[in-house]
Amino acid sequence: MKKSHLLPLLLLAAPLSAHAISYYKNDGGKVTKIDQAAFEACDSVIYRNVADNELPPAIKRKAMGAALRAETVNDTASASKTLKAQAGSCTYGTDAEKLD
Amino acid sequence: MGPVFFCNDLLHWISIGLVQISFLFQHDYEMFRFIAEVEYAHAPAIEDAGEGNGAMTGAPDEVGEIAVERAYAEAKFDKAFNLKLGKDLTPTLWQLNHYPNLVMPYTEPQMVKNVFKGRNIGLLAHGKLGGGLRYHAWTGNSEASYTQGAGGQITIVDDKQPLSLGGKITWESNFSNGSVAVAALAARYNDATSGSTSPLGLEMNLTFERFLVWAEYASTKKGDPALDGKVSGFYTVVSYAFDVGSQGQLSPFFMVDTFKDTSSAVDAQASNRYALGLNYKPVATAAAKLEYLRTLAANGNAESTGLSMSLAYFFN
Repeated sequence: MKKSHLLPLLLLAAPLSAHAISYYKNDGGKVTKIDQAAFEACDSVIYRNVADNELPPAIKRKAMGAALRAETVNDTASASKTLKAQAGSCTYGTDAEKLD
Repeated sequence: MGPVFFCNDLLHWISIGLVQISFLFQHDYEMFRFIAEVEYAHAPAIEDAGEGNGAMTGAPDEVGEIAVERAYAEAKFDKAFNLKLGKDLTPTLWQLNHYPNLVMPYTEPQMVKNVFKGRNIGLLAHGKLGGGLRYHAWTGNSEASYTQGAGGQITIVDDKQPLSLGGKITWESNFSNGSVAVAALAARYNDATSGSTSPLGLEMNLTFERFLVWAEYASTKKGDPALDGKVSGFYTVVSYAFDVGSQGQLSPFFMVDTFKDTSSAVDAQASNRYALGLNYKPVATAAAKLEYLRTLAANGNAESTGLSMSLAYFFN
């Protein structure tokens, strides 16, 4: 088999939505990036994007609970607005999303 | 977004059923949120012959509902004040978390929806106050009911009652190894037909390290003065989570569930249930449960025992 024929197979095997998760906190009115440990210590979390399979299992479990209680904020603009309005709150998103 | 629940129930090793599938649709737009949830629960097959033998004879494959469980628009004004308009669940601890992936046991406690009603159609305000306090306040009316004729035909009965009122105040606190939430509830259900009721309730949700404790109590006098009765119920669920593998959790649990309706003949509706089981979550989205349930009548005689197994999965 030619090497060029392997390329489509590699593309199929590669995860289609691989991305990193970034965590954010409204620290005294200013939104900054934080690490996962700081996120997990946050008292008030805005859960979102429960379908994101890159989420760590413990966060996905809590996001799923929030989704079933209709407490998630999935729209990026709404999540950013909610984060900026609530001092001390935290959320997360992909690097492509503008939350800070 | 479309989460779906699939649940198999194996009772006495002879019965398997599709218990519940829910489709949840959500859209956020600026400060507004729109939610619709369509639920299939123990519902009859569409191609059922419609011979009218369903709920009347207790045929398990003909009892249930296909319903819009929630459908509302929400305006999120502020952390302290948000409004929902439409059809929503009454915000009791079990009702808010009743999905099979979230609750520990398979069996629903008897008091759920039998003291505080299951759903409210109307307006609900909720938000967080200072000092760990959160409130819910609602007004609305019950759903229209229906009757099923001998030929299986459904007739909607427009028997909506005057507006009811309800409120819940919750205090939440996080501590180093867990969190606690306690709540008090009160409601006034106006009912011109069978009499009004004014239930009161208490709830507790405690997480301490790997222990989880849920407890609810609610009580009300029967609306019809001629019955001179009281309906009350209490349940508590205690569980402990063990880590299994990199993502999994195995939680043994125990539930005590009591319910009493003194207006019925000789406490016929009073019973105590005891459930002992295992809840296994291999990944965040899946739950498998094995549960032994023993039901005792008010006089202490065993009414039934059973072993059930259920599977639940959340698609996304």
